[in-house]
Amino acid sequence: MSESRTPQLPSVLTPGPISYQGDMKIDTNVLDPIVNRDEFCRFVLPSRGFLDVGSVLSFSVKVSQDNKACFPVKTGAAAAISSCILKIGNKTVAITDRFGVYSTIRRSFKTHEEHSGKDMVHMGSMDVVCPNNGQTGQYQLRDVDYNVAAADIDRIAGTPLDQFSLTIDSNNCPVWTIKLAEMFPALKNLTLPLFLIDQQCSIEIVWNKQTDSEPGKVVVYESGFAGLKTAVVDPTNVKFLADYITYDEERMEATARQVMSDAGWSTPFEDVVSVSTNFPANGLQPVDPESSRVSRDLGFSGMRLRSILGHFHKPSQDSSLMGQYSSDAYAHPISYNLRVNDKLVYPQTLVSESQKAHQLSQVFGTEIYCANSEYSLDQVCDKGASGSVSDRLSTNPMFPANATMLGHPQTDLQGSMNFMGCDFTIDGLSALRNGVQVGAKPVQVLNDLINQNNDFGGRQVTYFGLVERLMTIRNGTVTVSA
Amino acid sequence: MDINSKEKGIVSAINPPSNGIYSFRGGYPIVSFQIAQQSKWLDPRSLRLSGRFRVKAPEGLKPTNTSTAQNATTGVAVSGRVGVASVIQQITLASSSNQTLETIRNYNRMLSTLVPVSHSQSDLDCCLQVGDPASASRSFNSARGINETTSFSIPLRTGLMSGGDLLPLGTNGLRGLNINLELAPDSQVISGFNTFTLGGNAVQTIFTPINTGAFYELEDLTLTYDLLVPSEQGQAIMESPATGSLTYNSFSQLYSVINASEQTQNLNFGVSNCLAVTHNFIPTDQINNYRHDGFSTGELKNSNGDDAKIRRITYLRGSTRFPLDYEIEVGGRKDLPADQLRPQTELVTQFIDSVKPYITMDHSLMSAQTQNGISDNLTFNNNRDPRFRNTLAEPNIPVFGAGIVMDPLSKTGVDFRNTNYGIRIVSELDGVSPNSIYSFIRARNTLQYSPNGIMVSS
Repeated sequence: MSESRTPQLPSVLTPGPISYQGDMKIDTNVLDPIVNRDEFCRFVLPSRGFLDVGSVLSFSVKVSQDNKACFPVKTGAAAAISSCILKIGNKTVAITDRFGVYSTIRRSFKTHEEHSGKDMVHMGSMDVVCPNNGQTGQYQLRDVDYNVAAADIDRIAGTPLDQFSLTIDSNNCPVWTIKLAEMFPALKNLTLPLFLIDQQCSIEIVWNKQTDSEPGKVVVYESGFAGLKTAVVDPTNVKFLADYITYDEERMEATARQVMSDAGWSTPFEDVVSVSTNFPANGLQPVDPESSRVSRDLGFSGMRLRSILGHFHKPSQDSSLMGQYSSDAYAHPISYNLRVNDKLVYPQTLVSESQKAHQLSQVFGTEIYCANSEYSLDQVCDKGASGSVSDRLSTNPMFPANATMLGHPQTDLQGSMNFMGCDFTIDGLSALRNGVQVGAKPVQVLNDLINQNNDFGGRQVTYFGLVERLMTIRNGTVTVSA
Repeated sequence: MDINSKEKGIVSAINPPSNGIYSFRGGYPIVSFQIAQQSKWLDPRSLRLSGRFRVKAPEGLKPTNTSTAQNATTGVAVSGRVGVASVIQQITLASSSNQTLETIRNYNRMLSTLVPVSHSQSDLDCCLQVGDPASASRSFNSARGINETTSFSIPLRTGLMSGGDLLPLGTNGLRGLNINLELAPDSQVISGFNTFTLGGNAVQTIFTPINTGAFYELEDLTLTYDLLVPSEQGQAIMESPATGSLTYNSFSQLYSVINASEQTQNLNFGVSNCLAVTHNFIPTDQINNYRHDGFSTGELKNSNGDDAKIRRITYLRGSTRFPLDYEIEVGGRKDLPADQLRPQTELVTQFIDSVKPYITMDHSLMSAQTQNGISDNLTFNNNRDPRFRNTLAEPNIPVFGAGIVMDPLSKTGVDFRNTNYGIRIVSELDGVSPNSIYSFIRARNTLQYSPNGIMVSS
């Protein structure tokens, strides 16, 4: 079924093991940006070999005081990036907007082993939860320092391990790295043949810059911290570690012949399109729960859509442990359906949080790695009780009420990873040319929301469409489909 | 065959009780679903049983599984390793003409081995738990997670659904699918939860008085799944009667009891392509008993509570040793002190291999902590301290069993139609402590369809 959909790429252009016996050389360049400011930087890639997808961007972040801040725990250093842009000549080949949000969703499908053993080191994230120290049947953040001298039940105040605390000093600070393939989903399945592209290839990064009035945008400060809550990328540590692969002459020429042929060489790739919107707030605090239907049109017309992801952030949670990257569940779950090409995707509107999580898991082909109580408030709320949201939330907390991280309550993590997802690929696998072709009408998301007593402020909503585009390289010129 | 599109399917149970609540206690222990015959493919990976789950303390009270002192509502829990699926005692998959495709008795006992062998602590506490609120590596966390009514969406881990191959629902295939679930008794599903002392000893919390009985309820039960729709030409091919076959894996189960220190169990599988057999054990008096976790997978036990260590184990086909032509010796001479016994490695390795190929075993709850109460995780800080004991999986709650892969090379299976399977266990059982053995047989079945109907040969 999927064979016809597998792009016929030369093996050297496809990341992964290749059956090849011959010389292969990997050169690493440490590139300095040609434009380097604390809100923007630009790297120009030399025209040599194939750009390895394992190439990494490295940088550090400066805060206003040592050891008083860490990155949003589920986002890590990705919070420092606003958007990533891959340009060839004047054309934008791939762009990942709202990178911190996208990365938070994408990363949540990695295993805890990857979270702890890889991402924590590379990105300073602290994702993993485990049964709590006090044996109360609840959970806590795992890879943080607790007051080990205290009794079991009192081991509740967490702080980042020393090596993950952020500093004010450019020379004595942790340096973070993010892989090229994580910045651009397009490059998960494609190794760029730089030596065959006539135009200049460049990577642009738009950095996030946290002012005192924007908590949680880049870092989370200790609760009650009285100083300036600012954070900025330190331009002195911004580098791009580019790996170029070069094969023997015969193989390089074979690839060149294909690219330089009349037909050129074409391949589909996955790109991310983001749409920002909001769920409206109730003007007044409702006495009784108020339901409303909110439909949003997503402009994916004419695109081949592989899947949709949704992120619903409650602005009042900016100062929490997940900063501006939490996707906050409603106590009464959002129910939704989608309409694609004038046809409803689900026979019934999805209400059950577990069913929604299953639909989300199909986007990435694996379950989301968070506790049930991090994904939704299902375990936490008494669905049979009447009363305000705050009453409901306190019925069965799955994080200890007094457990903290940098002074912030860990209960903030409850219901903070309530992403939405729907997969349209036919075989559920990563093979391209597998999504649904959206017609002239935009994709419609039909949401039923319930605002109530202590949760009526609405949500900042970001939808991501994972779409397929077609890249063609012919005679050194790159073109990309809409 | 070209697939044109994917559809999301959902069906409700066809035998809803008048109040919509399925429960053993309420007299509605059977749940039936029908997926109609249609010219589409069912993606078995996407099939989920969804609904809402709650446990209730005696007299219908809401549980309060917290650190409060033991009382009538504290200690109403289900197995964290099996999760909500612990309520499913039997699954029967059949075609719409009621040709049985697979029947798994004691499905929940099977999961008590399958899940912890192939899922890590993080899997249980996180990714499984998102779909199954009762899943957790520690029983207290599982218990707390079901204090409220929660939604669930769980896979049905049958052989047919775990194979990964698309299932044709048309004339040339299954001709629709009937799924029947039989719910387990409350006393088997529900037990208390444990906390652990500094020395790793379990302290059980369970509702009181026990004889008043806690219970569980399920409602809003649905099956959700993805259907792949072929092109018109493909649909025509699926509908025009033809002859063909498809093969799939299936599980079946047999029950027996062991009591003597040297005992051979002879089981008649009646299958022609047996791939593997897996056994787990539980003292017989702990089955259907609120006081005990009915899904424990410990070693054989004597009635005084001590482990009855297995010393030798032999797998037989007919009267000959098979597939290993030697005894697995894990204990040595009975008079040797415990610290001079041979390690259980070979027994346990074969057991894991019967569930999942050992070389691909990368996630498992099994560790020195679960098997022996020894912490084996290091923290991320510079001091290399062991991770704090309370954050690890429960100590000394082993994932134990026996098992063997029959045909690890060709993977076509071994014929047990006319030959008995045997397992000879030499152990420290004292002869007055009956232990139940649950044997799960994984075999390859063939479904043949023709204009005359469908037939399954196992």
